[in-house]
Amino acid sequence: MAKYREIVYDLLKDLKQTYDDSSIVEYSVLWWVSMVANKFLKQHLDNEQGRTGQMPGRFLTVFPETKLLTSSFSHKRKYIQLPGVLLDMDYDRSIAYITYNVQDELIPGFTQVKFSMITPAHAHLLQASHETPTPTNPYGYVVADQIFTLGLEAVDVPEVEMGLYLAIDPRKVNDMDAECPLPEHLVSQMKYEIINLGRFVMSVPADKVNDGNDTIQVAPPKQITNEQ
Amino acid sequence: MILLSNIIQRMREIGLDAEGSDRYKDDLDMIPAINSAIEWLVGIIAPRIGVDKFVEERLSDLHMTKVWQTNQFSRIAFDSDNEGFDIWTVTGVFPKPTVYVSLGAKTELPGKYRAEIMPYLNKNYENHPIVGTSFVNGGQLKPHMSTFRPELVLTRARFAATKITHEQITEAENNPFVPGYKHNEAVITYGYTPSMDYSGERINKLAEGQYVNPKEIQITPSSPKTLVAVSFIRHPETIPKNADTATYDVPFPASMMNLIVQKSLNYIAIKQGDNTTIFNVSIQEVLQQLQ
Repeated sequence: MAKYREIVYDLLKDLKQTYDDSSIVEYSVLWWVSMVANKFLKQHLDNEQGRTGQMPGRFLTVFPETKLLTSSFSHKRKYIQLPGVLLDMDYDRSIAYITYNVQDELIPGFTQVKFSMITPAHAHLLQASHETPTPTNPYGYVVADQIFTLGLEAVDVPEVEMGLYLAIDPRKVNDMDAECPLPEHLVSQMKYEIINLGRFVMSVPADKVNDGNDTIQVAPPKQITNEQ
Repeated sequence: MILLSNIIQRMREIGLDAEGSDRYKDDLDMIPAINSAIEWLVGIIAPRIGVDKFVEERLSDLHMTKVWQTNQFSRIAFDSDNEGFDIWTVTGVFPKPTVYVSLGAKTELPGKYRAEIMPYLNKNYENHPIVGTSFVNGGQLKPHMSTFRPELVLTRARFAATKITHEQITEAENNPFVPGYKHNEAVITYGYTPSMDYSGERINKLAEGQYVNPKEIQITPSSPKTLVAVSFIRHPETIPKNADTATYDVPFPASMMNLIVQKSLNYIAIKQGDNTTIFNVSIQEVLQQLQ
């Protein structure tokens, strides 16, 4: 994979070669990179799953120790604060898994319990005995940047492990030497699309530029005559 | 550098035909004319700085990089009286540089200031050491006081600030797509404004701690108590009338000697009276060289 530093400065150099006095800052390019790369990443993951039935682990980000918090409102529900922006995929496919280790004398230690994902609207339908939320059969549903849990109300679970497919958030790229999560074969496509984007931004036709001139046609002054 | 005596000798030999004569005095005729020529050069070169790379190379004898420490408001005040040079124009600003701490150039520093920097001597640091006292008198730095750091030498710069307008510095507070907006430590573009007088009004006499800095540049995003390396072209000093012509260096490259000689002769011609031959000849020479 390519580093953010390589992608951003490669594009910046190319754009400045043509428009050397343009005031494009690194963040502008990083913003464009995130826009285009997120689109390509989602398409790539969809295609992979369509072909193989599985999401590739290469672009999965694992958060091994995420705190389970308790809401001070909303009936003291337990929730997880998402550490990034999820790729917007149907059926919560951007959440690969959420698990926790059961610390119970009756079952073997470090048994991984996996959360099932559900929507808030369907949560109240979990009535059947085999699907009732319990500590060994927990559920989670996404609300904005949080995941609320069901089934852990009576147990103390300090932290969970999560595997997530996250979108690139340019505000959180705090290391330019980090790898950009995009397959190598799509880097050239991304560059092409960003250069097109930059070129479009900087080649606004002259008649669209505000030159400060008033274009309203002023009616010629009416001559006062003795007629009429 | 051009030796002052060389300029004077050339003027006597080429333009004035006065070798060995006392007709033209160094202190009364030559040095004032050369000073005027230097001021004239400054005037005509100034608009070309930053536009023409050739101009900056010609001024390499005046080009310097020094290190300052910003005040609490992310500003640097230039103080030619204490710094020993007058800034003509700023050509580069480098926040948070790596610096080498050296006492080689200036050892007569106040005791308190010296005590602050001694533990760091002869080593490289990034944006460090920060001092709490002034290099001028060792006094405690007030919130509005930046300080020149004569013992620091720039060795490496990771960031270069972009010159922005005073309007843009406010825009950079909110707009992530202009230089000067801070996203995080990795994605950061610095900006600086041209010098400005932000001082409060002097009331009667200067009160203790009053914010009076006539010439300040501001760094954005806010970088209080931070080291900033500034590259600049210093204003050539006026040559003192009693300067030792055999040792005094005029800070221009040898390639500009003829221009200085001709323009100085031109000023002498003005002093001698209107439309002498030397006036017309020297002005033609100058115009030819400027083309």
